[in-house]
Amino acid sequence: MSETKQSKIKINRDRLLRILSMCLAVRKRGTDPFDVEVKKTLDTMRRLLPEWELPVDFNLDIHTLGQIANIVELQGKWLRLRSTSLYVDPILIELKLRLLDEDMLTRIFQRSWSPIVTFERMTPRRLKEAIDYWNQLPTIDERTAVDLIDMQEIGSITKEDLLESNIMYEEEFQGSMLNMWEALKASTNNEGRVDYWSFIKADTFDETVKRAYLASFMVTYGYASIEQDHLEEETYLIPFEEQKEDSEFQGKSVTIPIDYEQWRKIRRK
Amino acid sequence: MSEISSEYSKKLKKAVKTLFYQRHRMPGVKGWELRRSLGKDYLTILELLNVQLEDLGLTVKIVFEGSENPDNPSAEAFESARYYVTITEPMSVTELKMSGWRVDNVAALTVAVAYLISKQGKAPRKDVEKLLKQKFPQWKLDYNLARFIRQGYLVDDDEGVLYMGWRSRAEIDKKSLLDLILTKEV
Repeated sequence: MSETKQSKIKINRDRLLRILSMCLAVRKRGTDPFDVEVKKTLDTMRRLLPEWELPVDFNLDIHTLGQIANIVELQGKWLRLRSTSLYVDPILIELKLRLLDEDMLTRIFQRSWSPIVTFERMTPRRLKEAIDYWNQLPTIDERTAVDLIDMQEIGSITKEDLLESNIMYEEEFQGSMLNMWEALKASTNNEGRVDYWSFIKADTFDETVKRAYLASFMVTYGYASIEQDHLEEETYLIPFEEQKEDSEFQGKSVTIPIDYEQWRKIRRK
Repeated sequence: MSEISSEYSKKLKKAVKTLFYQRHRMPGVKGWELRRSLGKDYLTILELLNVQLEDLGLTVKIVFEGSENPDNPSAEAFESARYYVTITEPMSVTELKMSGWRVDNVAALTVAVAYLISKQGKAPRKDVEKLLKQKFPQWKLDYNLARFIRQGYLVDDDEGVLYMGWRSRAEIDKKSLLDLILTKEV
């Protein structure tokens, strides 16, 4: 096959792949199926058909045709939905949602919500399993050695874990983070930054860990950034004047371990 | 005659146990489970049960597979559908709050579900987040979406698309929700 022909086939194959990916995207994302111009697409495919020579291209052609058939089916569904009373312009709904306040939204939800009713029960079999479990469970003393090892393992805890365990509440979390942000802005030096360790340092180890945790979320949610000077082995926090969107700042992940010994060291400084 | 009545009475009690007591992680039972437990006439038993439940403000709700309920469901569609008992009368706002829901979380769920309904049941997660972000900080939005997914109100996939979950389909009257949103005076 000549090079010109090869390159022509490649261009045509790309065109077919573009049609295929557009059909798949519409199907997957649920966007308007009329975005695919079926007639124009079929005309293009008809023009390309005589160019195919390899089985792989015929296969691609059949596959694309199948996806176009799916689009036609979706267009039918779309029209049926638009003719029913359930269809409302999504833009209209979005606009109304933006205007409604929390209280109004709650009242709307409450009037269209019918929660499921279920009961939990204890069966004789489950009771027997529970008794067997209790009988074979070692005492606390017997388990202490194992538990101590478990306690010293390094683990991670997410904000959701804290909220679910009622160790911290949503309002408390947001309030604490915003207060810390204000404190960070107030304590910057003339270079607009603060030494990380002196900022998170507190009188107790627990409080220091909590401040480190909140600082990590300040960085994650665009209230501040973190900078490391590898030569001096220093870490700095730099507060933003306003919260930045994801796209506005270059997010980065920095691991800063903290343990009891580390806390004692920074306390002495 | 009394034998038939007694048989139905037994089956009604069995239907109550099957539907009310949660046996799996998810509440509700499949049609084929009901058929196996109550017999071929399980739909008749459910109709009888519905009459009794009506007085208590409850009803048996059928959620068919797929995004929309079929116009004339076949026997197979009834067997693969999921059956739940739900309340019929709307709860008051006080009852809603007492059931453990916070107003801001309910508002976030309403916005997410209404947006998905208007988009035929699915939309890119980014679009839902963009709408919610207007009134909620990112961390709260992440927390809420994760919670709604865990509770079955929403479902997400690897490609960043959010769908209506099984619980939304069982508990939320889509038409009523949209009508109320559109007619609410702001």
